[in-house]
Amino acid sequence: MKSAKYIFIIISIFIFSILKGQEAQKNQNNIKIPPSELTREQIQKLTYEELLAMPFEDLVILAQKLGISIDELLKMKTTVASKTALTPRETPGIISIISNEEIKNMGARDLIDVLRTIPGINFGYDDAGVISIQMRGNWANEGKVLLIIDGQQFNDLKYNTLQFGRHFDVNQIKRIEIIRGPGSAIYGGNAELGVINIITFSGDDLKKISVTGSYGMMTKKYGHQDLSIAAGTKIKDWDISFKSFVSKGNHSDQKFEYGTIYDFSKEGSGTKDINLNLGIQNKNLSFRAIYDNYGSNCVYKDWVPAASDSLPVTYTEYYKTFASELKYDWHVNKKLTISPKLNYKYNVPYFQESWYTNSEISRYDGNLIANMEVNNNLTITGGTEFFYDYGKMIENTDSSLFDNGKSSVSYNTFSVFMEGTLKTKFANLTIGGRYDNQNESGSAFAPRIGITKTWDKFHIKLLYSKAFRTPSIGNLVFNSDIKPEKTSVMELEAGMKLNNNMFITVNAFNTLIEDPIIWFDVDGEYGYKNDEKTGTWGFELEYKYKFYWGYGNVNYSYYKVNENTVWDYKVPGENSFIGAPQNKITLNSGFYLGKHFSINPTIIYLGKSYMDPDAETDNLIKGRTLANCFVNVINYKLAKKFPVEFGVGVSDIFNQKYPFIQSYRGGQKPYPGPSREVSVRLTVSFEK
Amino acid sequence: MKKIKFSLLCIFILIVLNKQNGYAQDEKFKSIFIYNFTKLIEWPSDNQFPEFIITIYGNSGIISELQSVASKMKVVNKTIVIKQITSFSQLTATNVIYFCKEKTADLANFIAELQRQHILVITEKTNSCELGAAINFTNKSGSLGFEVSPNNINKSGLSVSKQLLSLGTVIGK
Repeated sequence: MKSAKYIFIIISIFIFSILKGQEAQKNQNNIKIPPSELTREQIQKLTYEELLAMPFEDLVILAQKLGISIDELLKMKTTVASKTALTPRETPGIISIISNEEIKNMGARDLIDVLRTIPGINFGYDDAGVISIQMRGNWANEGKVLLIIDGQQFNDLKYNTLQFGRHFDVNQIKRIEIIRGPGSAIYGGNAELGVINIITFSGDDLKKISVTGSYGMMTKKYGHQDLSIAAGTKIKDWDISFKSFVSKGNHSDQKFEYGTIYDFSKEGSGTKDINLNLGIQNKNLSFRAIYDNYGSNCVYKDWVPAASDSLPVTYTEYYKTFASELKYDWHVNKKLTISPKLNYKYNVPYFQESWYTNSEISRYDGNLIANMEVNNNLTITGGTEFFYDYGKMIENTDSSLFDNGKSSVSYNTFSVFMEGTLKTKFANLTIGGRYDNQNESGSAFAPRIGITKTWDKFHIKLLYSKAFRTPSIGNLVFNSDIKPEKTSVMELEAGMKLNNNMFITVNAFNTLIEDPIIWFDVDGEYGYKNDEKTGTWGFELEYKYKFYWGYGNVNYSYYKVNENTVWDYKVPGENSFIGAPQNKITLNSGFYLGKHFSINPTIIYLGKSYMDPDAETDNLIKGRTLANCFVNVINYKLAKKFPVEFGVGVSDIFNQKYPFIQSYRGGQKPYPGPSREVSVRLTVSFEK
Repeated sequence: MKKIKFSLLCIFILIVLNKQNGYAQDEKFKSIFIYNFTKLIEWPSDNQFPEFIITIYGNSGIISELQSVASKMKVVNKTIVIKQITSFSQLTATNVIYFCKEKTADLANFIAELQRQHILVITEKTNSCELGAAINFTNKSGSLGFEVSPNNINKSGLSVSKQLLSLGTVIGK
């Protein structure tokens, strides 16, 4: 009853705001953006008529903005780390932004290729063919890093996990904004250690139909076969985009020892993905629906009774998600915007054909945010959210039960949050917090305070945040007494603009996770429980340059284990965690060879790391360098309205075959990575 | 290893064959700048041409961009006509001449004649104002700007507005 009441209130506000907001919207239509605030992309889209109507002074400003300087990156506004749009130097978070140009130029095959170039991010192996993410040395597969695509959260609803590796279409990404630190004060319970916010192209960005095909061949087997079709348009106030993606791939073509030795060049590491993404916007009303069905092959361990001669060597686990959203921005007046939002998400994670533990989970979510610009210096955002999760078993058998012995479960969570950003002559101050209360695991509060100061060439940030990981359905059905994980993070960043084309930052962090939720399996007893503490501290250096002839990003990241009681994570006698290299150096660069060509080398050095010592006595994995190079040809027009882009490149030129190491004591040897892969990509567009 | 060497060779050939150097300038903005220059120059009142003529000396993508401007706008109430010449002997009556980069070497030979005929000379190569050009486009890290020489404009029997001088880099007094 309580949940119905909350949802009714939010729906009522939603309808009321639409009716009132339409009248106010008529006055918004003629607001023009000053030339100094136009982005480079917006300037390039201006028509002759618009440019010829401008005063010459404005044209001179626009022409200067077309020039290449590092300011293009430093002045981009982002809302990933705060409710107020701020530049990367001002925002109260340690963030990275990666553009479509960089993603396309590096010839990225999937999100692993893109995110590995970001400081502090690496990938490890979970189990059953799942590759997932590490953040600043911490294993972050379950509920610690939040993945958002066009506003929709993609952590699964049972365990809050993420699956990477030939998953999601990178060709339609406009940009990715990453918080390399806690985000719970804004995003709640899955953003404990990081947030990856992916924004794809809108209809106005596209204004065409584009078809992209790509193919990659490893040394012994194909790596990927992808087809991506995107269509978008803007007609009057309607912005409509539709993107589709179909992919088949293989994580690796090498051998994997899992009891038996499996030869992945024959079978066993296949992947499939179908992704459909529809976006519709009319003025302040927006709708989004995304369907994703990702499958990853797994192999049987030879002592598993089910793995007999009558069964196939491999099976596939699927992760099916449907996520939708209806949102309205009601501009009450020039200072106040109220945004009600309704989300529905349906998820079937870890699905195997005819398996008795298959379950499906639905989430009904209502959210209301108010943003007020009190004056030029003070912005306050506050809101409330309520969501209801309902899970049930799919198979209808006596043994089809959750681990608590029930065939269905439900939980609800109520949240309230607020954040204020105050700009003063001394510094910008951001204070905020989020309170979550789940009916089963109790409450968690994540306050944060950020002080940022920018001068002409310098900036500093001093940040303190608490964050949390809410126990998932998968945790609670094992242990209803499990508590949320609580994290404290201190971060300090300093940055300097060396000149118009170069920028450098350094940041230090200290992350302490209390009551970490861990899986245990001891003497026949297994499940989830809270351990005492874990975490890392370290630093990250980043140097960026951008000239008319090219760009580059060089970064170095280092972590060391903080206080840690989780035996499953630590390498005996070392200051590192299992599976996570302490040192990482990356270079992501591009060189323009005129209007149409670019050559783009990427180098990633991953330092030594260790696998589970129980899996192998000699558990050292030596450091390796992954070198990639991609040549990109863009903006060639076959005919007036048929631009073509073509690219060819090599990933892992020196064939290092860096493995994905299981990032806890799971008793498994490393899951092999892909061998050297030659890829080609072709995009053909049809413009209006 | 052979495949890697072959790939590197292909990339090297691509680099050698590609003649364009540096990030492409936006020809659209240059053409609109040229139109705005004509609005901020005072033209002789005894000019009897029925049209306002802009001549491009050399090969450049700016031609098509100027034609787009010409189809939409007028200068001193006259229709804009765009002409292209590849040798200086082809030059006929014109109000503005735009020297493409590869033709700027001819500027010193013809500047006196062009100034006598009250022709506005625009170039896109460094130090061209010192050779007599009235206006010279500049490019700093892809950022378009221009130099303007009021002396050279006066020598052409033309007058320049203060607004134009304030928006560009003034060369000489």
